[in-house]
Amino acid sequence: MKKLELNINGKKLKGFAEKVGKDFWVSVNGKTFKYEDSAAKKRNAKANVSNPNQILAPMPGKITAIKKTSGQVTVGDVVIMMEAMKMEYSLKANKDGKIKKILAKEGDQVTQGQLLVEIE
Amino acid sequence: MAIKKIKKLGIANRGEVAFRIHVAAQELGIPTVLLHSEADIQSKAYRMCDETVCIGASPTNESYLNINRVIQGALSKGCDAIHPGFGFLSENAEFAQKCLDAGIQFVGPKPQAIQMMGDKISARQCAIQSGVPVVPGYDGEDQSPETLLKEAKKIGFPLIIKASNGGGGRGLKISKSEADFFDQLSSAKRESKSAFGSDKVFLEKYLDHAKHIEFQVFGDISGKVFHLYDRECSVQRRHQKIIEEAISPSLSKETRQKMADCAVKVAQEVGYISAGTVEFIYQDHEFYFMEMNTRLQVEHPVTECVTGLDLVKAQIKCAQGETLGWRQEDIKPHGHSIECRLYAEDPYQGGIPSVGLIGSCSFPEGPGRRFEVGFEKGDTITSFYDSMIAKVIVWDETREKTIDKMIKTLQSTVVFGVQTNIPYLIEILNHPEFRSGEMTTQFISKYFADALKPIELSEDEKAFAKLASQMSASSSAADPQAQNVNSPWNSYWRGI
Repeated sequence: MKKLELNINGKKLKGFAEKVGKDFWVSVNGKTFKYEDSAAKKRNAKANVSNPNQILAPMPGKITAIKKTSGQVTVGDVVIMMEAMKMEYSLKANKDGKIKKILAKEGDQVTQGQLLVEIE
Repeated sequence: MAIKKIKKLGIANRGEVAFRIHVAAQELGIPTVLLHSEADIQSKAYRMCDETVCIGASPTNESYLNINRVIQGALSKGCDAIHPGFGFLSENAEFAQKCLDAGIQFVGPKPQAIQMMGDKISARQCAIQSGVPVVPGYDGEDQSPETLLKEAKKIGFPLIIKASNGGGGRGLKISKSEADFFDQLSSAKRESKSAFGSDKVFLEKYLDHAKHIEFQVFGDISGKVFHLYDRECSVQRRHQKIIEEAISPSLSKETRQKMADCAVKVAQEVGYISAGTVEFIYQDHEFYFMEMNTRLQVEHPVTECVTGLDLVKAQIKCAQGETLGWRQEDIKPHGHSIECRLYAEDPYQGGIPSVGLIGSCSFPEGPGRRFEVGFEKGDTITSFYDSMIAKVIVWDETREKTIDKMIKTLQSTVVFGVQTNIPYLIEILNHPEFRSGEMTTQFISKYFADALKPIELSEDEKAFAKLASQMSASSSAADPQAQNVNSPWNSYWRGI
């Protein structure tokens, strides 16, 4: 970890920065975050062209409940609950629309990135 | 009982507690063997323990939960004792018995005590026998509505009507008053009948603004049971504790003494030896026995901070047949201590685990600060286990000062490579209800059910990040040697 003291707009700011894998991490004023320069933003935007029509499993785990099986959803509606690392997570719709297909059922073991729901 | 020094201690656990046990053993001059899974060769305990043996693959049922593999692993390295830590096999009476059968001392209570407390019904019976209050309830055979109403009135409203054979919230109804009792009862019976094939129900007092307060107890080899005061762990998310503190801000001197006496009585009832925790539910100045955990607790450091005692060393000494020489009147809480569990998770996405390679970490040491670290730079957080990286524990003179110190400590704690719950912890610590000490187990669902709002960076902070990243890019471009491991800008892999 590199300790930095940088002159920002005439003020001295102290912090830390380090590249871990492909990501550039920064900590300043008690805030720690991944910094994306414009190139990284573009790269990540491409990698994450996460299709809002889809809900993917964010991590490996087990599906514990299907909250909506059909019909309209709005952004933020919980569609699926899953359990991983002893914790439960709710997976929400990223757009308004209608549920086209649910590709998992209660009790399924899923892998990271697995397609669970299609919304149209 | 004669003193029998442990020659080599097997550690049947992982993460920060495995290292914690190693340190205690080292101070007592006992070499350690880490009994670990394949995934955990990238952990602090793996690097620090005297010996290591891989007992199986990463899934817990092939390693940490596999009794035979743990015991075989320990025997293969000549261990004559095993410390089970917490979680995994620590409260498994069969495991404790099999250790003894294999000639291995189990660092913990006797299998009978584990068994007795592990079963909810026998634990409740044991509490009742020792005259300790339990949550008022009725689970009798007479299920006539008239009897149930009579019992309901005895218990008082609101109350929960639960399916006797049930679970998972089905067949569970809350009756607010006598007026809606029969409606809720018939609905609970209907659901119970269709879901579980029996319409037998039991009634229990509904505690909707309760606190979780627990007492640390310790049974000495001489037969004495000590209490080491209480901890409050009301800040819980889905029954997982996040922030714990000693001692509770809510108890009067008299109530504390009463609860301590009850905790000791329960432990004595089962002839308890070693460290254990008696958990209570506390509401409106009344307390009820909930359960007893027959093991070391994740949050044991806060008790160690306020009492100055070392629970893990005490456990090991106890397993060696040594008496501790404590006196109850000498055990006094001093100041205040708080523990925060540091998880690799994304607080801006509702706490989704953030797995991957850990970069540099910086834990700001200082007086009254303690860091129980499980993973370090270059280690990987996997999805096989829970994602706790470390526990941050601070001590100060008063609760108010301790909260402030914890916030400062967390603000200067840096973990790169994975997202952490630090921002979430800081928001909790700053919340007026937490500061007031009045939080209940509903606290998280009441105030922190949603993900945190995205992080807000000032223009200066953004400029700082941009400049740092430009400097990093140009330093590695200007100096091709910067690709080597000595460059602070490069990532690294190790331990493979």
